[in-house]
Amino acid sequence: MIKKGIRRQIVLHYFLVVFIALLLVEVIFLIAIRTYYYDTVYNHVSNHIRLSNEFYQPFRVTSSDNVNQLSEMVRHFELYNTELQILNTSGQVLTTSAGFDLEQTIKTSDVTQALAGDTSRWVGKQPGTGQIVMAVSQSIQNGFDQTYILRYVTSLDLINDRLLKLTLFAVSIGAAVLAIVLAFSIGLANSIVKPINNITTVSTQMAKGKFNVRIKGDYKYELGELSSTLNYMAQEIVRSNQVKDDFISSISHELRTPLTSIKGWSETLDSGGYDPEETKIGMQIIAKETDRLIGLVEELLDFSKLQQNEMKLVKGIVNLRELLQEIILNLWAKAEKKGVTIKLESEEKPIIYGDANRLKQVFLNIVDNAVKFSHENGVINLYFTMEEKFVTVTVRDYGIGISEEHLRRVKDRFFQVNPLNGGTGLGLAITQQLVELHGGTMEMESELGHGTSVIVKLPLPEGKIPVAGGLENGEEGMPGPTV
Amino acid sequence: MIQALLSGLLLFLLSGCTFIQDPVSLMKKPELPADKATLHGAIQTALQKRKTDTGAIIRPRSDVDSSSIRIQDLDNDGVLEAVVFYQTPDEEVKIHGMIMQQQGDAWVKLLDFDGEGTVLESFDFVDFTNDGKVDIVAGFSRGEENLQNLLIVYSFSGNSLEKVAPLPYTHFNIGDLNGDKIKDITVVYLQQKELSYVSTYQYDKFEEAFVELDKLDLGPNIESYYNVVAGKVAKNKEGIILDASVISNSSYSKLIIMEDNKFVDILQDELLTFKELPIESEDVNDDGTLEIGLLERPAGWEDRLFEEIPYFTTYYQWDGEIREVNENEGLQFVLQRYYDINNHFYLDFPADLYNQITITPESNKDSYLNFVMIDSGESVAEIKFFTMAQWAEAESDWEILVKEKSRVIAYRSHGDLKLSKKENKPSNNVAPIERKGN
Repeated sequence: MIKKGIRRQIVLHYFLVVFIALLLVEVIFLIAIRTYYYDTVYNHVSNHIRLSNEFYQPFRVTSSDNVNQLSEMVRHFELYNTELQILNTSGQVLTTSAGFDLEQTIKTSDVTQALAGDTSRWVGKQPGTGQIVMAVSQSIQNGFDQTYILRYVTSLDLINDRLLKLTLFAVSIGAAVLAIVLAFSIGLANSIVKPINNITTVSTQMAKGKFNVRIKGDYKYELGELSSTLNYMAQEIVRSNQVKDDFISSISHELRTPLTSIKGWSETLDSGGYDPEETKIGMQIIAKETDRLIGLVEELLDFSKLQQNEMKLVKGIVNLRELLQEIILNLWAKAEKKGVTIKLESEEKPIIYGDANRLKQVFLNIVDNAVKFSHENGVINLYFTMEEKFVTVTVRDYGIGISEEHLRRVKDRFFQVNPLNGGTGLGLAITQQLVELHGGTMEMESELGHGTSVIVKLPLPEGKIPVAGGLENGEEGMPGPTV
Repeated sequence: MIQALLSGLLLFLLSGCTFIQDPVSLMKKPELPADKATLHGAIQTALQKRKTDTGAIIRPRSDVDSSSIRIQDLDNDGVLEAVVFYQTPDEEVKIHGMIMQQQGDAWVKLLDFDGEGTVLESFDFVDFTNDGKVDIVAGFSRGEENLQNLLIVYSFSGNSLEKVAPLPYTHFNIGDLNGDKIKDITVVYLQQKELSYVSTYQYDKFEEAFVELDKLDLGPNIESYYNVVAGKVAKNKEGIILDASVISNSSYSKLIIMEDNKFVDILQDELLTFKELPIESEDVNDDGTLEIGLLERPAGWEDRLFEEIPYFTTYYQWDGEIREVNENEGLQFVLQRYYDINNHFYLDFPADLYNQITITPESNKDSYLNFVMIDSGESVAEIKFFTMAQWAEAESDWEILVKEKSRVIAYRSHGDLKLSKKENKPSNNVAPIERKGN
């Protein structure tokens, strides 16, 4: 009927649960209603016996000679819609209200119970007619020493008819409820299955590479989350593809620029008759452009090593202060050009255990960025903060800053706020990974137009670390470019 | 769609006010077996045709057979007839009878016949001629207090019903009193304190009528016959015993038999059977022969008030010999019993203790009785009335005689004495004589 799947599962579960519940309720209901009907009839008869017996008491006393009482008793005890039989203690029928002579002895359970002194009922087939009847019997003491059993017999035909009708009615109600539940459960199943099917179709398309499709439809709860996650995933894939494309185009551009310059110069030199002055300038430029190319390729190599977890750190004792001072010196020329002042403000001399070259690369990159994005004549502050287990190096510039939107992605690979600026967009990504390789973290705080802080947290070595002698003195003697 | 479904359901529920009906209103009389149902239906139809209420069928007051519809082959032709009596309160004749005949599977009404009076007392089929044809014997009266009843015999002969002249009666018995193997009717008639007689009728084939065999005048003093029994009164002697009350509770018993179609009053001396309390004559020892009950004052209670005396009841059988004098010699002791009429119990003593036991003077018949040997004073048995609280603490050797809601009456015997207490016998052994009034 319904093909295999969640829909059938749901419908089947609903159906079963409701069916079992209905079955229970109906069985209980029918048992209760049957008990109600039978009990009411039984109570009606037994109350009649009780009341008429009480009423009969005075007559009994006066008629001390107990002859000619049977017909009187029948008249007195008769009950509408029942047949009254008067039995003696051996179960023999003495008289009945039907008028006929009943030459028989009755030994049904109600009679034996009546002999034991209880009022009880018996439901069974009436001999002779095969009708289902209820018999209620009670023994009464009559006069001197006579015990009679009053046995009321009533046909249950109408009641059983009614019970059958009730049963049919209950069953049909049950069927109707089941049908409604079925309809509802199919609806519910559809509300789950349809979105899933939809999502499946869309994700199949995505798997085939069509990332421009989106799951449409406003689904709720888990399905909504699932579809929006998928949509987001597709969007991210599209974006990272975009980033990659940007990277490729920018890296090609980056690679082409020096190559063009090298090619141009080598052709010029080739055709220019090797004028020594010109040749010197040309060779210088070619060498410089080649350096640039090497730098680019190094960067790409680093990145690919980091990507493949092949980067090995050569660890040793590193004096961070010295390292930073060196970097300041390295960048001094570049900063000077822009009129930017770099200041190392803290007095601490933190010593950590790490790869000096890599750490230098890290801070060179960060400070270089700071210089790049500082305004003319700006200031860049470097300072340490010592914590129990970490040393924090903060590089603060007051340049253009980064918008919140870009800040989130600035550490992503290939991301460039402005792809036209040149560069691979790998710098910060590599920096971050190197810091993380050292067991540290790198965070960025920035406000557009007010500058950026890059906070690098590096772990301090545990225990004592051998400090190379003379370093402290040597440091004192270092000419500080910021001073 | 759902709306339509719901509204349909609602309609169904609302219209189903009678959906759950009062079970009592669904009760129905059980059906009669097919043959009886047909007959019942035919009778109802016949009654309706006669414009009579269908509930008018009456049953006789007699306990011997109180069924109202009787099926019998009346004229011995192999075809069943049914006889039923019904009330016609608006007509001059208040009771009518109806004969139906079975024709194939159906019942056809043959004829209606008139009854007498307002109450059907009894209703029976008797073969008076030993030829298989039975007559309908019906007793009628005018109501509760009237002792004058009419006995009517209807003879059915194929298609007509002959009504034999009615006999007035107070009690009647159908038996064979004269011993000729042909049924006769013995009628006891009483007009309180005026006259009373017993007479026997037998059907005479030649005269085609009932003729009176004999009639015995029983005198004018009788207030009522509180008990009349007929049957064996001695070995091979059929007879009738009349327990007559005279003044208040004082009573005596008459034993009448028939010899050569003539009544013989065996116990002419009424003092012989005189008793201060009404004792019913009956077959107390279940030997098939009737006994006459008498009261006996226990030794040592001679000066006490009548109300206080715990009388013994003794039962006697007639020896079957007709005497002119010393009639008392004909009464043979059968049983001694302590019989408490008010509290409904009795206790039988072994016959060999007769005249040897009495009741201690300290006994009170409403609380404690101690039966002792006259010569030794040794206690033979005790009867005690217990409250329920006392009964709970009573010793275990007491045996219950009567158990009621608030009290227990019990006895215990000493020595190896075998006493028999009253047992509830099946109540179908009703007196063989039809009686009425007190």
